[in-house]
Amino acid sequence: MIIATLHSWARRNLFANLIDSILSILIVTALGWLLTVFLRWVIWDAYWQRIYESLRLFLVGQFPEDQTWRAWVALALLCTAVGAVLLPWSRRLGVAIWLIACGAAVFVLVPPGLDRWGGLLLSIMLTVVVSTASLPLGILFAFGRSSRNPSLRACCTGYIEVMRSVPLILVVYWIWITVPLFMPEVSISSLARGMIGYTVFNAAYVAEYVRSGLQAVPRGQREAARSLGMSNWTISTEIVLPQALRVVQPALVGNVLDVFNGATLVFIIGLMDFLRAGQLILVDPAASGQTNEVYLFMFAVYFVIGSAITFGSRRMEAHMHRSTR
Amino acid sequence: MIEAKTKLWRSSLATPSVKRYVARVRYKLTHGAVVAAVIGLLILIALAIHQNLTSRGIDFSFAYLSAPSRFGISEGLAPVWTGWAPIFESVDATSSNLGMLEAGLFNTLKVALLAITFSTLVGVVLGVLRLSTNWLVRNLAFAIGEFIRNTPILIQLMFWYFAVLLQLPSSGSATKVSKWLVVEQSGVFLPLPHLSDSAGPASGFFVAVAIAFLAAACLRRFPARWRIALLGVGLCAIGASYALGFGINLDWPVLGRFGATGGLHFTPEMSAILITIIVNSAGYISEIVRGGIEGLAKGQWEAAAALGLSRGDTIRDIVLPQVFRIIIPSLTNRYISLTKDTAIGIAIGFPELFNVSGTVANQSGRDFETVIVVMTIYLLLSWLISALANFVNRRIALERA
Amino acid sequence: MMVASNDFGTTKVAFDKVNKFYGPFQALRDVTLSVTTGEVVVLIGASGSGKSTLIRCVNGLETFHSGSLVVEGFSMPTIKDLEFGGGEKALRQIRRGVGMVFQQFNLFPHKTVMENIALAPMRVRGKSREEAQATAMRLLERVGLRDHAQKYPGMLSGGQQQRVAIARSLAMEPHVMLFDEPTSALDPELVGEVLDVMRELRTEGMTMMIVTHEMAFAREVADRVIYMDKGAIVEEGPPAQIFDKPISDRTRTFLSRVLKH
Ligand SMILES: Nc1ncnc2c1ncn2[C@@H]1O[C@H](COP(=O)(O)OP(=O)(O)O)[C@@H](O)[C@H]1O
Ligand SMILES: [Mg+2]
Repeated sequence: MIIATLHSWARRNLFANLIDSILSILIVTALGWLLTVFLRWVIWDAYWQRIYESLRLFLVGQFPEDQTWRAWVALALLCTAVGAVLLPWSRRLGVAIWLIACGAAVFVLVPPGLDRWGGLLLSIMLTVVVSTASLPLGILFAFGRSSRNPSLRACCTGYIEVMRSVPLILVVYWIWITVPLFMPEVSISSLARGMIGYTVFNAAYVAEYVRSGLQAVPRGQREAARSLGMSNWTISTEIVLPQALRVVQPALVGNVLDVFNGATLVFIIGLMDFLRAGQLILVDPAASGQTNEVYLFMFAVYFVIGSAITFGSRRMEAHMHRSTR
Repeated sequence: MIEAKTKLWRSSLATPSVKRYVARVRYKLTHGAVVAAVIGLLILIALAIHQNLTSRGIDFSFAYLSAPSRFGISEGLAPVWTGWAPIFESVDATSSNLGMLEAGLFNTLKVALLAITFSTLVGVVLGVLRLSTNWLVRNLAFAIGEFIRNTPILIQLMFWYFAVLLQLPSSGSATKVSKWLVVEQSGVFLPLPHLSDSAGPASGFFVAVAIAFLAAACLRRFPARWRIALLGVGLCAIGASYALGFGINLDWPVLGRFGATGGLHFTPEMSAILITIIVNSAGYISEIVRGGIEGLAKGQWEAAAALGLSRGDTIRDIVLPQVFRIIIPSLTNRYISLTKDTAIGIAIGFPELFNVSGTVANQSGRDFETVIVVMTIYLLLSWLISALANFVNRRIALERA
Repeated sequence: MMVASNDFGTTKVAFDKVNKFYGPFQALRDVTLSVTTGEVVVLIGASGSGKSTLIRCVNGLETFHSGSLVVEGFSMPTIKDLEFGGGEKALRQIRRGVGMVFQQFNLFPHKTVMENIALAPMRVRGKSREEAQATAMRLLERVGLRDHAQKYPGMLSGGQQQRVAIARSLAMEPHVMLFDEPTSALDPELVGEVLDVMRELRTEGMTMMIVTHEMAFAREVADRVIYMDKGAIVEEGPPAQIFDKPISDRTRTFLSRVLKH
């Protein structure tokens, strides 16, 4: 029975015609050979001890050793936050818990000093803070760009277009050097400046996603609300925005992945994120032979986290398609 | 209550023009205020920075751009204007800061143009493969795209540079892969086509004629007979130019004791960033292409199948031409992203625009001015790409109209 | 037609020589029309004849270029008034007294039936949540949807959605109700339930302007039928006159086309 289904599946999907059959055999052979070589290396030849020894540097960078509990608490808080927005209960409650938990995570991590954040901890916290902060900013700019008020529209359009035309690394670097130039009295840590720069940059992208959502809300919705005498503020916040956000939710989650991936670029302002930590390990002559191990490890971590986010985004999209008729 | 409000409204109704005037004045005042506030804020920031700079004895000026740079970069050409056409020359410590930025822009453009071309080719192939009838091919293409899109581009660059290119056999003991391709630690070498020495202006003229006629022969708007005639004339022109001594020679890479020389040489940095961006963008383009193909109306596939076209023919003749029209906006965005992505070259020391600008800023102490210059250049680049895309889009729309 | 300043007690809606353009295209031509309290006016006409445009002017969803429109004593701002951001307040004031029901229902899909109905009274009229929900419940009962209060619009049939939409408008306690083809998007077997609600509104003395293609219904409920063509009112009168002995040839042609089926 199962053999028969398997057989017919293979007939259809692997050996449908001559070319497919040849391709299938070639690919199976090549993949099999690659996999054997790869697995043999991973299991016998690779020196994973180095990764294990450097795990601390990878995960939290130079975070003080006696303060490690803070990282654990932050991790727990972040898991709570993610869980809260994933669970299908009240959206408002989910967002509230997200804000509180993320705020608490930042709060817990601050005492050792922002300069001590590093490794995966830094990459994740940067992503969380930047994604969270750029959403309200992005919403404001999206409304601004679709406003009927010409001056507001011009300013918001200009901002969005400029930000979307220049590289992230340039914006982060620029804000990093400029902030102390016009606020010389206060000293702001590199990480905070990086977060500001990254948020300023990412808000423009979020704004464009949100704007596409605003445009996707049918005109009749606004008209119905207007015919009930609602003010523009009520219409925007209660009728249009919730529907727009629902439409662009998958895209916004996809943006979180972009933020996470882009967070590698903060090396430019001297921060040590996960990728940078790996490079530092490789600079150490003792580890120079472990290039492949280090890159494989980093690729694996990035790929797992990235795939999880992509998976979430895809599921949201599928869910949305199912629930709209 | 309602009565009172009504009265009020009605009494103001008596002078609608006054009301309208008030509304207009208020409208203009509001917008004036908003614009003024934004400009004011920007001026305030600029003033604060300026004051800060002057307090440190630095003034704001772009004069430094023409001063000698006093540093060198590993590769990059800057245009030197002697007459009506620029000559590209390599830059050194005596070149001006502006020349350095130009060389950086040259490198950025070089990578961007090559990457746009090749990532489109690879991406389209990968995207079409995702619709293969073969399960393995389909899913392999999917997995590759997924891996590329779910990992940061920077680690991909690091990987290609540190884990692949720099791990190659060192110069001298080069691995000569073939006559056509030499790969070693000092970079990638390809044969370089160049004009034969005997080529003169006359043969050049015939080449130009040939190109013009052959290009015209490719236009579909001419009837078939015309196109064959154009093709014939073009071929004759090629023959004439060849007879007049025009030719293209290949400059082969030569292996030497201290590494390969000659031919078309890509430094390891250039190779790494080019490979990274091509592969990375191909991953995104494959997704764009697949989305475009799947977004195409089912009716097109069915109509083609009803006509008895094979799957390959359907994709090539029916689907892809339509898909390209659909995906031009997404492709444009990708090309803009790709151009901006070249800025990560700084991570491996490739002297692209952002990297060079950093050095210029450091050497001259002019962070602020340099950033303004560089930002403007990136803005112009992005606008240029969108303008080109809009132009293409409009041309296509016109042709179909 | 003159609108005397003291008769807005009985005149709810008064159009006077209203003209409206979409670019060069004229959608309303010198429309003059008044609707008195408790009157039911039905607009008929071919598609594109400007019925929707006319009815949407009454609550300011469309603006017009010239002429005047007075709704419940409030003068509707024209395009020129609104151009520089004035007149918004006046518009909202008018909308409070005028309810509208759309062809596509336009319920808010992210809110429950209850929230759909209670939102505007709370936000616009400043009612308390309890008060608004009590009113909503009463209205739901009236349109026969008591049990569906906690459902989302997507879970209801078209007829049920349209009845919710009517309840939502009624919650604002309007003095005038506008209906723009309320049954055109419904399956034939669902049309009746919506028309029933409208009949009931009529018996309660609601002033209504209705655009519809249900000619039998028009004949039944209308105090006055208005036939429109190319943006102008061609003929108006009691249903018996319009349907049985129309004066204009255009009216006759139109009616013979729609009544044949
Ligand atoms: N937003 C618009 N832009 C341009 N033309 C419009 C617009 N809305 C309506 N029209 C035109 O105005 C005319 C009247 O439309 P409408 O009032 O909707 O007609 P009806 O409701 O009688 O079918 C139609 O010819 C329509 O094409
Ligand atoms: Mg209509």
